[in-house]
Amino acid sequence: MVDTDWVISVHKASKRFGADVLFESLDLEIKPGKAIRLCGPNGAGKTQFLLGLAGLVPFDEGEVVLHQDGTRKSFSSDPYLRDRDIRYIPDSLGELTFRSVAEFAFLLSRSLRPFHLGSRADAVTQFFERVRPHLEQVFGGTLCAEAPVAALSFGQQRCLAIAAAVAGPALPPRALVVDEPLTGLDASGVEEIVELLSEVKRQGVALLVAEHRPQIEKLDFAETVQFPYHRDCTEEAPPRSHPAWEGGDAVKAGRAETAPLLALDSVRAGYPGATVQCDELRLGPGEIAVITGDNGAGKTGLLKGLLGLPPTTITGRVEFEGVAVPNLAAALKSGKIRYMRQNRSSFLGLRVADVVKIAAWAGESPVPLKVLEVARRTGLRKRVEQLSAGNRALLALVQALAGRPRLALLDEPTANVDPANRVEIFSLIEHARQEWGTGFLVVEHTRLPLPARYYRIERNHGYPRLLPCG
Amino acid sequence: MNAQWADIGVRTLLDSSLVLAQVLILNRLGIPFAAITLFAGLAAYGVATALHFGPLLFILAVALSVLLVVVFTALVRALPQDSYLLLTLAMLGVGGALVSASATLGGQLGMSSTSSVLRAQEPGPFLWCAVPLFLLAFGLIWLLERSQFGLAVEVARMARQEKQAISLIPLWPITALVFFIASGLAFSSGAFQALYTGRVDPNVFRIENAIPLLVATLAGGRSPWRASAIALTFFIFPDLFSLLVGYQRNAMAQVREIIWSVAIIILAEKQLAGARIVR
Repeated sequence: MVDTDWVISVHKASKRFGADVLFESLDLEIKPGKAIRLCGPNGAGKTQFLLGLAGLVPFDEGEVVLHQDGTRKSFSSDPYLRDRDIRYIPDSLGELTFRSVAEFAFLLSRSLRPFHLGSRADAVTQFFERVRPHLEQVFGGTLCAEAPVAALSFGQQRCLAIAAAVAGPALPPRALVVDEPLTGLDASGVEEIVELLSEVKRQGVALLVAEHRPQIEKLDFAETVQFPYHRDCTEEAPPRSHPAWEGGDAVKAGRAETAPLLALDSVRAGYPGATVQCDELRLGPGEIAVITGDNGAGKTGLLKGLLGLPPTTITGRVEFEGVAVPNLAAALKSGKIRYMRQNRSSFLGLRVADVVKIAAWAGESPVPLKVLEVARRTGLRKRVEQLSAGNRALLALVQALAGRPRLALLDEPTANVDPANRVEIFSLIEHARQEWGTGFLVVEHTRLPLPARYYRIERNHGYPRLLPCG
Repeated sequence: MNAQWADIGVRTLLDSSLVLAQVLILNRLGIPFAAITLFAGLAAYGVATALHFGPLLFILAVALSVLLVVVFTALVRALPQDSYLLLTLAMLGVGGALVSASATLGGQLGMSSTSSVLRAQEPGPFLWCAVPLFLLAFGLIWLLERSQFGLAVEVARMARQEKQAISLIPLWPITALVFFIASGLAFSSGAFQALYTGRVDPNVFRIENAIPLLVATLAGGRSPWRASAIALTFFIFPDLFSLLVGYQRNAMAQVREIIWSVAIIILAEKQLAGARIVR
């Protein structure tokens, strides 16, 4: 039975990075079964607040207190109490995804007993068999305990992480603190996670959620905390109108006679055992092709297969700039093609300015002004590890476009990104398209406010196939 | 003949224990510590000092060694990996210079470390020390491979964000505990080696002595079986072949270096070729 007679209060929490004040004297009351949404642009301090609340980084000032049965316990003096009561799920799981599904779930559920000398295999197996029905219900399919999590799509990894975090032995925690839970999820994945979080809330667990996507509103938030810079993000604002977007068709028309940048005929590419069939795809200079599909459909595998990145495979006819090639690996190496990965945890120790310089090395000309201008907004002197997830996405796009590539492959460029930065991203893509004729092959879950052709990965006669859609 | 086999066994097991101690620190904890011979050398000089100057100095040597291990443990978090590796190698040099410069410790000639209790060069009693020490080191790596504690050690190696996803489990104490145990194994091995050979000299701190152990450690990987098999093979080779073929031990050690170097080059080339095929 869940205990519902408690309140966790945050008193006068403050956090600064140098001269930047992320939040100051922030008071908050977290009550059972209530959901609180954290709003604000990328870099405003939402993640820092969640980490501070979970005790993973200290606040500069302030404390977190549990009030229960007329008593008052400070979480600051009892980290293990906090660990049991407040469960944090970050927006990126990095190295953990190299582990097996069962071990991943075991670790994220806080089931590990660190000083226990008993068999880990037995503990993991027993745990997994116990929670498997719950996880599979959330996951919407059969889970292979031994398979590496990295083989799942990014969206599936998120589903599994959230489901596992509430499936531990000390179920449920008092508060679940989730950073960008809908990142990388398709429409059905979003629905499942929102439903899962709603269910957790109904059980009396408090939710603190930092999320940009408007679908999260279904959680019926009791309170919204606006983080500094005070931009309203309770609704996903439509992207600002951009004059360049209206001229997209003209660009397409002007370059119609030139050979396609990329031509795919009867190509089958992806991870072994999960390849996607593409009968025909043509992408000209300055054009955008968007690949959509459910989580796990093989979108990322298709991009990696085209680029020849192991362990993916590719068969069929691939032409780049009119020349038949086995894959796009050589063009990637020469800098003609750039790939923006979904994982943005690279170069964490470097400064933004250095990352941009490195990205421009492969290009023949200096960093374009437009790119530099966007990079400057994230803070050229900041280290990448100091950037928010959204600003890292912006930086990743800057990296991809700094060398003025002929073709850019972007894997979910707007994941983790707030509305203002989405505008920046679309603006930069449009600039590259118009000014340099860069073609884009983009994996996304939503439609872009740019002229683009859409393809969707559908199961056709039992195997995934890339088909044009409206 | 039996005494010869026992002699080979003692020396091989003590060297292999040292490798397994380094496997714990380098391969399991991910701490770039490449100078396990530093701990062994300090223990060897500690034993020799105790035998010459009585237990008071021995207690002082133990206290200094514990302090050194504490400092090394604390620096794991404070220093970047390259600086830490450099520090371990520099400490080897400092250790060698200090004992070489000290007339009390015998200078370049080193000092005697013969004991009346465990008599030098008599392998029988030393086998009773070397076998349990080796089994202890093996058992610890085996335990790390299969226990929840070992999983916690693996988690301790991860980057900060991944660890945040897991919880506030006391990862740092776990790292420190394993480092202390591994250091203890290295000190024990060094102490037994000093007693067995009956003499210690500053060469124990030479970086050339640390390199074969480092090679065996890196080749050994994280599995207890593979690490043990490679360490035992590595150190038994010169003795075994000098016994069977009749060549000098040092000459066979050089043959070993050639064989291992060639094996590593072939394996590395094979892996590179494999990578090409995958691409």
